[in-house]
Amino acid sequence: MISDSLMAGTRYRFDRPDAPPPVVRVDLLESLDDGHEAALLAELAAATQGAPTTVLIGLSALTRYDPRLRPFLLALQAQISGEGGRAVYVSDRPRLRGVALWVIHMSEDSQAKIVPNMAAALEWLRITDERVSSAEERTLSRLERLEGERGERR
Amino acid sequence: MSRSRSEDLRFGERLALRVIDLISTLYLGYKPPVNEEAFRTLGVRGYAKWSGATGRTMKVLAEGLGEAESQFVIGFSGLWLGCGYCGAGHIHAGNLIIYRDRDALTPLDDATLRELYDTPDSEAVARLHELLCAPEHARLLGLITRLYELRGGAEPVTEDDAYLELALSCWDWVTECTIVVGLEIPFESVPPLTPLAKNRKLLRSYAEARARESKADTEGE
Repeated sequence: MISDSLMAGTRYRFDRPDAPPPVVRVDLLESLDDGHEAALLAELAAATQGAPTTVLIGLSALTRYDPRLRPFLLALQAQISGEGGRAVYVSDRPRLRGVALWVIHMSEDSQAKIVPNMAAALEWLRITDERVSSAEERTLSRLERLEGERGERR
Repeated sequence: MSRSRSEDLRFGERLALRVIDLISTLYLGYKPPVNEEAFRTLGVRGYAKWSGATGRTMKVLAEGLGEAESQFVIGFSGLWLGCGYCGAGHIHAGNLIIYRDRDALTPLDDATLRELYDTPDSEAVARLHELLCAPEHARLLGLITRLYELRGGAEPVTEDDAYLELALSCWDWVTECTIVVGLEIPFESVPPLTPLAKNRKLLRSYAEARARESKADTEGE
């Protein structure tokens, strides 16, 4: 689904899909300096041309947390939401999922999502949901079912 | 989200927050640093629904999985999502219950949690098997590793799975607000996130036991 590398940066990889829906994939391979950050944001702007685009942000290649990551992801998220797009962050490490959660919470983007692997990201691309209300609905539904079952046993 | 978190709290919201902070302090023994963020994000009604559901979830999980086990399950649900506050605080509570009831310490101390916080999921399960290999931890190991499997996309099958899925969805909701403090907070500074935080005698005794364990480990090296 995702192919055609546009440019192979030394610290990030940038790809676009070969078919709709419009998805851009950005994999951060190591910490970015100011120059790489600016280049990536510019590359994203050139790829989306201001159109609402789903951006898949891969963090799984990062092996440690760099404090520079937070402000950069905040800027990246602002650019994506500013164009009406949505973001999905992929990370297999708890701390980096926490960074992504902090970013999407501070950005007040209820559409953005964090997933642990690429399979979950591709699954998420097929659906539309609102993160917080979805968690609320699932919780209340499961809670009512378990409370009901426990009540019947008493 | 029901209100914009960047807006200042209105007078009525500030008043309600003071009442909630007071009730929290009386109930838990400390003022949770996340109440204000929850008000800013969810509003007063949203906060009431969020905290009410969280309390009910904790009760159901304790009844279904066991008091200590439920705290570990909640803690790992939060830690997996990246919230160190939820992770350290609920696992601290689970550790205290085991220490109180069985006079035992689990291998899940703050240093180990910091390590797991940075460990990729694929390695975390193997590490948990190493840490919780003793027979007395079999139930805990089973629950936590199953939690990782469900997070990874496994289909729920067992009765325990229904409780684990509840913990996962509820902490998806909870960490939306707790993450504002959950990223940078030192694990050692997080109190147990239950009324056990008021039991100063238990907290002191547990800290002393951990210190003795640490000293023995150092001398054994």
